[in-house]
Formats: sequence, structure tokens, C-alpha cells
Amino acid sequence: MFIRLQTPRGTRDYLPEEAATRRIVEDSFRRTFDLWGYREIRTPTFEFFDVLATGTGAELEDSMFKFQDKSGRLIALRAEMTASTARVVGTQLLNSLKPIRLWYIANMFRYDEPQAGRQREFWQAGIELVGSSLPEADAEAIALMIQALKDIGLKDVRIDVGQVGIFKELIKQGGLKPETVDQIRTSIDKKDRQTLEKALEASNLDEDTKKILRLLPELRGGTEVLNRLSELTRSPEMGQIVENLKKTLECLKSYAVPEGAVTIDLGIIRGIDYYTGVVFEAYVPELGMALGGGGRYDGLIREFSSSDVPATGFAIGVDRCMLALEKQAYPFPTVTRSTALILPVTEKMRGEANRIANLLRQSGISTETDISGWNLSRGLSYGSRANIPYVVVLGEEEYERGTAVVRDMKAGKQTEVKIDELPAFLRGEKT
Amino acid sequence: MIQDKLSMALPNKGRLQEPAIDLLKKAGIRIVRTERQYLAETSEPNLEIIFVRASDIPVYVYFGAADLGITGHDLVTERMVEVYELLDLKFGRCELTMAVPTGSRIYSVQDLPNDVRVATEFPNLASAYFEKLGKKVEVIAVRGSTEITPTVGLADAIVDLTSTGKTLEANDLRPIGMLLVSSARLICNKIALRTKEASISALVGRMKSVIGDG
Repeated sequence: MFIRLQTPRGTRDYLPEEAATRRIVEDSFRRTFDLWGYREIRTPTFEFFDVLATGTGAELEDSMFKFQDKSGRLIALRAEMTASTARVVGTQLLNSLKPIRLWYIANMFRYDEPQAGRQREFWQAGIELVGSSLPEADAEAIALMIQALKDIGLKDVRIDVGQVGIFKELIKQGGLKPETVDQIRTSIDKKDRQTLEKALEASNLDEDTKKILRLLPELRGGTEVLNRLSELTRSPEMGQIVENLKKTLECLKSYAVPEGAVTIDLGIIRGIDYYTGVVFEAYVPELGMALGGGGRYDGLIREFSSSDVPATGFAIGVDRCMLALEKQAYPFPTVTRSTALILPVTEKMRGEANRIANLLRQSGISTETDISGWNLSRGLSYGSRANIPYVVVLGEEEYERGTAVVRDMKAGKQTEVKIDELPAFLRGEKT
Repeated sequence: MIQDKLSMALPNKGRLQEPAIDLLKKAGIRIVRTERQYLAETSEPNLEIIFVRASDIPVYVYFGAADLGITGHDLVTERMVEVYELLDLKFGRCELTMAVPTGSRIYSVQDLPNDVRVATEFPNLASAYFEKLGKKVEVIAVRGSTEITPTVGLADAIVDLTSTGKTLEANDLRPIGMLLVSSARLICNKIALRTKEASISALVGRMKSVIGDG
């Protein structure tokens, strides 16, 4: 019985008012992505687990909702969009014109412990930019993320940029056990220097490598951190990785990115395995959680094809954006229901009410008609409580003259208006 | 110098509270209680203290309701939230131990039969541990007095914190496995460390000099 009154943990309803504010934010994301030449992609909400688990790593795999279909195949709800997009590109878009620019706004599912800002069903808005390995592509992704967040109304958007290639290059040398790599990765990610130290001591990495790994959690700031890193290593591979990050940041300068919005943070080692290069996270000072993140994943599409196709992208948490907008006291426009209510005062006028309502709707004015058989006073009372700005009162006498009485609910003013001039009048145009 | 406004969550009771307050005092930060019980000012004009349950501190810090917090590594791991663990404060050391009644025929976790019932205050950590071992175990979440659950027949085994082993002994329990070594940590919100870096570093430096690094 009780269960019939609830939704499962980590899910929730969005009633009209909240749904409307979310719509404003989502529409803004769509507009921005469109303006940058990205096109929408939709993929299934559930897919074969093997697809969704490609390259995502153990942590995300564990948190997927999994179930079997009737023939016993393992299915999962998508927990993020990049694996699905990589499958689409690798199986259907391999020969299409590149670069491919794709966007999505979709719900994702993770079986995590629900917390503030972390539900089991949540929405992401993101892009994937496929077909270029140049720093120009990474810079475009970062610049677009900043722009998209600014366009929804967020102020003081900041991005931290790292390069997971550095970590992967350092770890490559040791022939380490996956558990050790995991421990080193987690402790860098948590800035837990003591655990990092223990993990490094137990490893057979050479002293120079240990020295850099120890330093990674602290390497945050301007380009000087890259110089510090360069001083510590003479490896040509590492030199290339650092150069790649420098070029990305250089490119980023030509976009209208505010001074101080971008910081280098080499401690960013995002939890998902498929990242291979420049990675980034966005946040605002008012919210204690990242708004989203992304990065380069050059090896992922190969898993679904036999071709190496470079790609980068990001995902923004829509729910977190809502929290951030709230924290920054963003003035969402008040959501009104209809602009007009048509109120027939006699039974005879009822059919006319629907005809006039249609006339208004055709002119783009959202209109409702009385369906409850109200008299004038009940109708006006509803109009006022529902915040409907105009009530159009249809009386027989006026109707015969080809007019109706429009009551401006806010001003409390009544005007007799010709019926065919109603649309213009309600739009506030002079008639 | 602490230039930005910072808030730190401290345990409102329990074994971690006194050493936490003591550590701050040694770092030159005196706590000045106010009328509101859960809030306190400090001798640092920009540092405010919030007193909440130790087990909730990871969530406060994760969400950014507090920039920093002092709580146990066990509680941070159990809550499964992403926060920075900036310092091992060295006090509040304990182990998360799996134990069975002294008379039990189980001598190691490998001996555990399937469908054994385990009571614990750490259901997430316990479940992850058994999953890793490949054991199908029924984890019963309790909110305290875990050590009595085998005696009264609620559970066959427990997963609980131990520091000396005396509580286990007193309740006729024998340890068979260790899940985690814990101690108190200074934890930090991931965004706060970025936006208030200088102030937090200054505070961390002062605390570090008290505990000695290593």
C-alpha cells in the first residue's frame, strides 16, 4: 500500500512550476549547442551492459542499474552518454564527414547513495566533438562548456584543466598492479598525501616518477605549474603532453573566456577510465560540487570499430546547474499559466468561447476556456487565483455587437474589444 | 592569514570531539561558543565552527555546507562522498573489524558460509567488502550496540570499530578479519579548496605543524 504513494529512492517528480524553470535552462543549452554547430543525438535509455561498460571503469560499472532481458542478456540503464555516442560513431558514422559535432540532453541512471545534488535519475546536457586530435578541438569543448553555463545565467563560471596523459605516462613505466594504480589514482584525486605516500613506497616506481606523482596534487595554478613539471622530467613523451596542454590553453585565449576563469590543475584525474588527454571540470564558487566535466577520449571509438577516431566532449549536470542558479539567486521569470481565460456568461455562448479561444491560440496566445460551468464571479475568482492576466467575458449582448469585454486582472480595468481585434489587444498592441 | 570566510564542521559529541578541539587549540584556534548550540565562533575572525554528528560531517563537506571538517576516515568512506582528505590527524585510530562469537567454528572470512547475517553500523563498507570476497551475506544495518547482536540472535557476526579489542572480548567475540584502518582526517570540500585555496592552505599549514608531517 505504502509503496503506491512513493517513487523509488533517488527519483523525483517535477511539478509544472519546477518543470518550467528546468525547461528554460534546457532550452538555453539547446540554443547554445545549436549556435556552435552541434546537432542532437538520441540513443536508447537502456543498452547491452557490455556497450555501456566500455571504457567506463569499475566504479561506474558498479553503479549501473542492470537487469536481464527475457533471453537472459545483461542490459543496463545508461549512466552516462559517451559510451553510447562512441558506439554510434564506431558503428554508423565512421565514414561520415568529420568533424562530427553532437549534443544531447538526456536522463542518466546511477545506483548511488542519494545525496543532495546526487539523485539516482539525473539529467545531463553535453556534447561530443569527434574527429580531431588537435588542441583546437579541446579548446572548443572547454570554451563551449563555459559559454553554455554562462548562457543559462550562471555568473563567475570557472574551469580547471588537467591532462590525464601525465598520470597515465608516469604509471606506464612501473608495471604496477591495477590495485596499486587505483590506490595511487584515488589518493591523488582525494589529495590524500599520506595514503599516496604509502602506495608509492610499496610500488617499484623509480624515484623521479614518485617525485612527480607526489607533486601532482599540488600542481595547480597558471602556466608556472607546467614549467615546474617540465623541470622534473626529461622524457620526450611527457614533453609532448605538456606541450599539448599549453597549446590548448593558448587556443582558449582567443575565445571570450574571462581572465582568471581557467586554472591548470594537474591533480584532476577523472574517475572514468576512457580519458586520454586534456580533462576539465567546471564549477562556480557558490556550489560545493562540480557542475560537470569532460575531456579527450581518443581510444574509445576504436572499441566499437577498427579505426582510431579521436574525440573529446563534456557533460553538464542539469540538476546541479539548477542548484547553482538557486544559490546565485538567479531571477527566474515567474511562470504564468495561460494569458487568457474565455468565460462565457450564458450557455448559448459556450460554443463561441471555443471558437474565440482557437482564434487566440492561432495567434500564439495561450488560452483556456471555462469547462466548469462557472458564473461570472466564480470565473473571475479562478482567473485571479491562477494568475491569468486577462479574462475575456463573453456576454450575449456584446457578442451581437461583435465585441467582448476584456478584464485586465492586474489593473482591474474592463475594456470592450472587437472580437477580431482580441489577439492584437491581448498582445498589448494598439488597436 | 585566513582571508576568506571558512566554516569547519566538528563532531558535536563522541570520541573525536575532544582531540579535534584540542588540536585546533594547539594550532592557535580557540573556540568561542555562542548562544546557538550548533554554531561557534573562533579566535580567527573568519573561521566559523559547525557542530554536527561525526557521521554526517562528510555530507556537510561534500555539499559545501561546511568548507572543512574533522571526522573519521571510516565515516568518510562509509558515506561514499567525494571530498579531499587533506590531513591524517593521527588521533582516533581504530580498525573496522569483522568478528564472530568466540565459540564459532568460523576462523577466517573465507570460512563464512553463504547467507550469514552480519550486523554493522557500516553497511556500505561491509557490503563492498563481502562483494569483493565473493560472499553472499545479509548485511543488517544497526545504529549502535552492534556487539550485542550475536548474543541476542539478531546476527551471526558483526563488523564494528575496535581500538583495543576489549569490547569484543567483553562480549565474547573473536576478530576474524579487518576491513579498514581508520583515524581522524581533515576533510575539505572540492570546490572550496579551489576558490579559497590560500586561506585553506594557511590553516592546513598550522594544523600540520601541530601533528608533524609524515
